[in-house]
Amino acid sequence: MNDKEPLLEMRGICKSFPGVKALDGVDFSLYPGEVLALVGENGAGKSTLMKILSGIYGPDAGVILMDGREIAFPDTNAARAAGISIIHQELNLCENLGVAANMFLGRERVLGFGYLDNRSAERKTREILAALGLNIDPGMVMNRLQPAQKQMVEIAKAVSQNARVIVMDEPTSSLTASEEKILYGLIGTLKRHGVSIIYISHKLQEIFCACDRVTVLRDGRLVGEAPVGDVDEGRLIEMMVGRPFANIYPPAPGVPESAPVVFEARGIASDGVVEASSFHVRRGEILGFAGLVGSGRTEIAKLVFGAYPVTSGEMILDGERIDRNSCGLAIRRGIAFVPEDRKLEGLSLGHSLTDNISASNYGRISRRGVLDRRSVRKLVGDGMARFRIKAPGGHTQAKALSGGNQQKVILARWLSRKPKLIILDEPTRGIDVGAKAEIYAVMRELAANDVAVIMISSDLPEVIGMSDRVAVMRGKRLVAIVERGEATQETIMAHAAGGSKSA
Amino acid sequence: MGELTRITGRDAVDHEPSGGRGIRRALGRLNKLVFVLLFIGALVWMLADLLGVGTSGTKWVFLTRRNILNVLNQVSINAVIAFGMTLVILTKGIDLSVGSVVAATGVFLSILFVDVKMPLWFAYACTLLAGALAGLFNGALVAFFRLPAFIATLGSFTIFRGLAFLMVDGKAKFVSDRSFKIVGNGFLDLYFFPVPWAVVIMLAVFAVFHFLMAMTTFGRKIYFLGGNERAAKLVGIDARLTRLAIFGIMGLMTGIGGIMVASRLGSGSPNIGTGYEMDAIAAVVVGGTSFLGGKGTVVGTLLGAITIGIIANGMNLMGISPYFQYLAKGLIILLAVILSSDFSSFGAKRK
Repeated sequence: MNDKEPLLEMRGICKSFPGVKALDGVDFSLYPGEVLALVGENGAGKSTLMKILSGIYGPDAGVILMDGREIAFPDTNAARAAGISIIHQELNLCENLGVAANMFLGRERVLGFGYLDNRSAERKTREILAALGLNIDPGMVMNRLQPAQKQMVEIAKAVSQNARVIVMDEPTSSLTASEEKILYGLIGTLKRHGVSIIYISHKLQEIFCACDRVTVLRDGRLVGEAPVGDVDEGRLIEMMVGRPFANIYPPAPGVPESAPVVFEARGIASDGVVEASSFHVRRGEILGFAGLVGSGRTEIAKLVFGAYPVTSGEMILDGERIDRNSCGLAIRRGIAFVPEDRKLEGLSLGHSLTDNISASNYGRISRRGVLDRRSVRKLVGDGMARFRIKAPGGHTQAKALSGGNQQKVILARWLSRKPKLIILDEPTRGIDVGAKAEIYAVMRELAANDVAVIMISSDLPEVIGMSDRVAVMRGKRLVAIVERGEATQETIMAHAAGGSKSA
Repeated sequence: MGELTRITGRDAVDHEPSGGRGIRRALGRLNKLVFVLLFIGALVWMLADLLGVGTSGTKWVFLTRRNILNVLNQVSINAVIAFGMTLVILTKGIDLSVGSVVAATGVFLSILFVDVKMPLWFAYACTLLAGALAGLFNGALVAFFRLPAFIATLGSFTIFRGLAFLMVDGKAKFVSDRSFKIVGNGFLDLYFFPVPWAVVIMLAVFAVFHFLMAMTTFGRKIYFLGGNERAAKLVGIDARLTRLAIFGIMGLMTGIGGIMVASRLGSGSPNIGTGYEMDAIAAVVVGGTSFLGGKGTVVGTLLGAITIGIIANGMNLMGISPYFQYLAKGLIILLAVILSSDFSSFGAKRK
């Protein structure tokens, strides 16, 4: 592939922000019809580089060449006109409009007098979707599509704008394993059409599935470039973190059968959300929850945590039946819940670290409702030290932290309560390798300290690497519990997809 | 990255909850705007004094103890209501009904005192209860019937105005008893000089609110709820009960406002209080509280109310037409919102 002329080149790109050199002389090239993985820890400069490529930032130094000619992107429109499209992690679609309307948003087809030519828009949309081998109805309203389908629409939109370079930022973060396969298929189709793709991901396995070449950034510099065939996962992690990396999953000591059961669910269900499911988790055990998106994993966790009403079945905590449940009661009983979406459900982003760690701990930092400053200071100081939260101080706003540090803030909030049972929903989503390892270590430490841990994850290697047992959900029900020795991607997927591995 | 450096550059104290050690935090948040306005106001006062442009022609009418107390006296009712409004706006709510509730509680008070012949203190207590109930009514609509606060209080805005008219058949009820007028017009004789009762009430309410927001878990819950309601529910904060309590407190403050207005006028008038909701919202907004929720302090609201009061007073004493004063007040509110931090990122997207 390298015998061709590069489609896109960035040479000697530098960019500084007050106090930080985000990019320091980065060279970057992309060949036609190539899928290039761009990897690096958070803060390595990936997103800054992509923002320069898409015209959001101007570089301090360096040039961008397309087809060998120097080109400048004074704004995002110029980048788009040159054929560069970005698919962000958070999709940019109007949920209340149809597929075709979204495809032609901002460049609507008009018959005259401003009258929209919906029929031609739908026809054109159908053509593009068919060319990409996608089976989506152009008239469908967006909010009725699956997350994966929405993403396909976004990609199809980029194609319809004659994109030559598509940047995909964490494209699989809301996809299940089977949906990922569809995405890889689509990437293959795009390649055949000569579209180049820059693929940003923290999940390294994906890179080996989907990409041709990989470029590694660290601390704003280019540290390596290689065809994916020439590197393995360990080597990639080494390049990203700058030191050799052993096994990311700490060893599991195993849980004795004699360990007391902390929590047991007997046929619990909530109307329309979760159907009768039973499981138990022992002291010191990590119980993984696997399943496709929409299989009810998050919902069953929220059911245990009291955010949904239990309509049948019963729950037993420490041998006692739970009659009435609410989030407040669950917290008081010693259950903690780390939600899937940190920004939406975990943190108040505009508030300080102190405020965010204090939440759920009000009882322990006050006397008769009046805050005790010393307790507040101790709570936050201990939490920041224990989890090595990288922040200037307790007053730092949560939104100024990286994803990994935000997750640690939430862990600090809950773990200071010494919970009996902690539920972690996608604890490492969108977090870099270093922070991931720290969170795994925390989970093992919790288990070693007799806490029962429930971990929901879409990342199968993570589920297998961390869990003592794996519960598999399908169609709002818990369908199987797989022991550690038998947990492989194949067995789990077989249960999750309902016997047939294709699904 | 710019964000991070900006935060570290701030003079905030470590481990301090937002709103905590309020005055220092408030100074950080107010975006210096209120201080600029206060400074301009004071400058206008001093210049006016030096040039002797007061309507009376005499020098030193602005920066006198009497005029300063006068300004505080004039903003006191609005400030008391605005303290309650701060809590409501912090949780992304709004209360449009306060003007109507001020009229209804004032009328209610004068009926209890004149017709029912209750002792004054008991009539006050009943009126405060009525105000709180009016607030709880709004709160129930918002928390349990899940109406948007704007719509719920738009409805009660009309309902309570109607109740005020019905109670006295549309006519103001005059109170001749002198003791009735003390709260609105009387003075508390401090050792050095007398201070209007209304100012004393305002400062006392301010102290309670500041304590509530900066030093109690209830305050922390309000801030967190305003910042992210979904996250608040998942850390065990009961959003509905908290909202209900906030509107109850808002109603209680409106009841105090109603008592002060009725006392000041010496009558319970069903026509009074129109536009009070807007004055209170203006004080909250000029004081730096964000309509997006979760950000703002009662210190800011107090300064916001005083700022608006100083500017109005300056213009009054300089003999500026009231028609022009409307214009100036509106422009100040707009300026406050444009400069407040939530909107200051306009145009700063591309670095």
